[in-house]
Amino acid sequence: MFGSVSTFFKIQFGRHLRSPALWIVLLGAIIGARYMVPLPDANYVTLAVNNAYPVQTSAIMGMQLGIVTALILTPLAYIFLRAGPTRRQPWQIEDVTPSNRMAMTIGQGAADTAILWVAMLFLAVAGIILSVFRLPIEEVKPFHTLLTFVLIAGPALAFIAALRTLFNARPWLRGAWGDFLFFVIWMAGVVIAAMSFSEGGSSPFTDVFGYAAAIDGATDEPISSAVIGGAPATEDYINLDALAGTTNTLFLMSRLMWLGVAGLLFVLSALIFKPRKFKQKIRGGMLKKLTPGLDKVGGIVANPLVTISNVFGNPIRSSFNQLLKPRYWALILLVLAVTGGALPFRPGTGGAIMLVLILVMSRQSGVWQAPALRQFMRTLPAQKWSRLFYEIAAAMLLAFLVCLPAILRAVLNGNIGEILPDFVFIIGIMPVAIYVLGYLTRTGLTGRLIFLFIWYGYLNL
Amino acid sequence: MLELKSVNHGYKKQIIFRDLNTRFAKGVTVITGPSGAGKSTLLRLCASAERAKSGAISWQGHNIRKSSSGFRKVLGYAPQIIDFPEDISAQDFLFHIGALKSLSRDQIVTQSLEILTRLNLDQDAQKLIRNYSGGMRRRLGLAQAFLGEPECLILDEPTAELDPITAGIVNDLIFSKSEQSVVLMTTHLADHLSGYEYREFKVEGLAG
Repeated sequence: MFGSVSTFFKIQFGRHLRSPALWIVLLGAIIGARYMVPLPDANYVTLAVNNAYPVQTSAIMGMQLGIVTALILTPLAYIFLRAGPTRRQPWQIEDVTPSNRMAMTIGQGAADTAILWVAMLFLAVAGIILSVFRLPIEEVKPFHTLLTFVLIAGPALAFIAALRTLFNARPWLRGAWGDFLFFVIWMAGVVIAAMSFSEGGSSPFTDVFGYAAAIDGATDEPISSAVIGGAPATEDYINLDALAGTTNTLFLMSRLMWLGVAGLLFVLSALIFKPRKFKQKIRGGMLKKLTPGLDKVGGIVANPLVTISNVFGNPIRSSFNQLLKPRYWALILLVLAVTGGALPFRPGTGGAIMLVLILVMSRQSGVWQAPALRQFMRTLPAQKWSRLFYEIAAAMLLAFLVCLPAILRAVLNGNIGEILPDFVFIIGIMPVAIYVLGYLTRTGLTGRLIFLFIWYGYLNL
Repeated sequence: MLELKSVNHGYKKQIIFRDLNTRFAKGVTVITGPSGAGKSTLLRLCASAERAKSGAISWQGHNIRKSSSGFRKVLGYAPQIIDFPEDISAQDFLFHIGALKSLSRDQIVTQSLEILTRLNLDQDAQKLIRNYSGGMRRRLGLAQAFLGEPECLILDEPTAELDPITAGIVNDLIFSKSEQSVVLMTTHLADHLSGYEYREFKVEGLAG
């Protein structure tokens, strides 16, 4: 068993190490550290408590780095694991080897955790170097920076690696629904911990990212507000004891518990693992019988609209048609378009339209990006930039059609000016960004996750 | 006519082709040679999927190493491996590739139907690619290459994974196009070509 775990760990870890993406992540981490610990005269903060900036110490620097890593960098860590070099596994062979599924899952999960911790240590070293420049030399305590940072970020990153492993275990979690669930879990983790402030105290056991409990334990004062990544208008300072916040028994026990949760998720992933199928059943059998015409909706809509010429028209039609596969998307988008013509756009209908378009476009942005397919596509007469243009044009056309009833409603109600930015974003900016991200990262996941966060922000406008 | 002049190519320290000079005229040329000799690499170079380190690869006198856009309009290329988009149908796949070859809708429909029928895939054209077997994928990869009635066909192992009867059908299709086209192909099933007229080009491969 241990030998198998070791083998899978070595292979997975080696693949991470050989990946150029890792070095980009490490470089980004080192440069990012400079901005996670802002200069005293910077016009932003990474942390403010009770409308006051924490007095900088080595431990506080570690805490700031830890909080930013646990909160803001965890989605990026998820993208790195899920869309990185190890996203393609030789499952056709692995699934039929006599190797133990538990060993495989634990070995690969441990490698994912280890690579995130390597990035974390790079960031810690960068933080220690920064502390030399930002603090009087007698106050530089590298161990304090390392300790507070690792205690906050370490379990959070292990949890992210465990989620990645869990989302590989079941077929429906391997695609967009897994990403959506990650987004929900991440958001819930942040919100549940934040809620504890408003209730007068934080419980580290409900704080997977460790940020609220660490701040709460760092001061005896009651906490009325905590700002992460904002800029309160104040020149006040507050003394926070980051070491006390991160080395008290409750906090340490909670971090161990979250490490344990990550371990349990690895085990659970192995237990519930369902192998991929070489041939999958065509989904939507009942829907197919009930709505036989849906399969042709893309063509029916696009054909009369896109008749510019064969050179431009056909590729756009083809891309448009693909956007509406599987067929249930056509039905969902139709319902949303009609709803947009009947109900106010912001926030409900607009949010729903935006969410479905994010899922549809991000999925399609990754469909033609597999390495061998891209190499073959290079031999076609249409150049890569024109292919990207066709895809974006088709996505814009779809977004426009779905928003059209809402646009007409807004024009008739005379409030088009208010929600024009929404339409510009959904029809103009979103398709371009999602497809360019899909092209650059060769997966739809990056665009999907980034725009899910933007979507959440939009709902809270 | 596809012509290679003083072509050199390799990866890192491994030299695959040194000063390769040859011409491929209309008709079928079968590239042969031991495994690892560089047969697929040669096809990739000729198909402009990969750029030779030096030398000239010309189609009708135009160097495709400098500009491949004209050549790609008359090229049909079926590599050995294509990561097909699994969740679209074969028909949608062909329509997309045909569209990127600037074919009209009618041309795509007519040609797809003809090719799929000849390859016995017409009944499965509406199926999602994820439900295709290895042999069906091979034929689909081949079908897209024939779209646009290309003047140059480059086919890497077009009959791999096919049973002898289907391989015969595929060979019939390939050789039926060879009167109008330059056809380069590799195959491990040279025995199946005994009834056809073709040239042979042997790739020896160079040690690293």
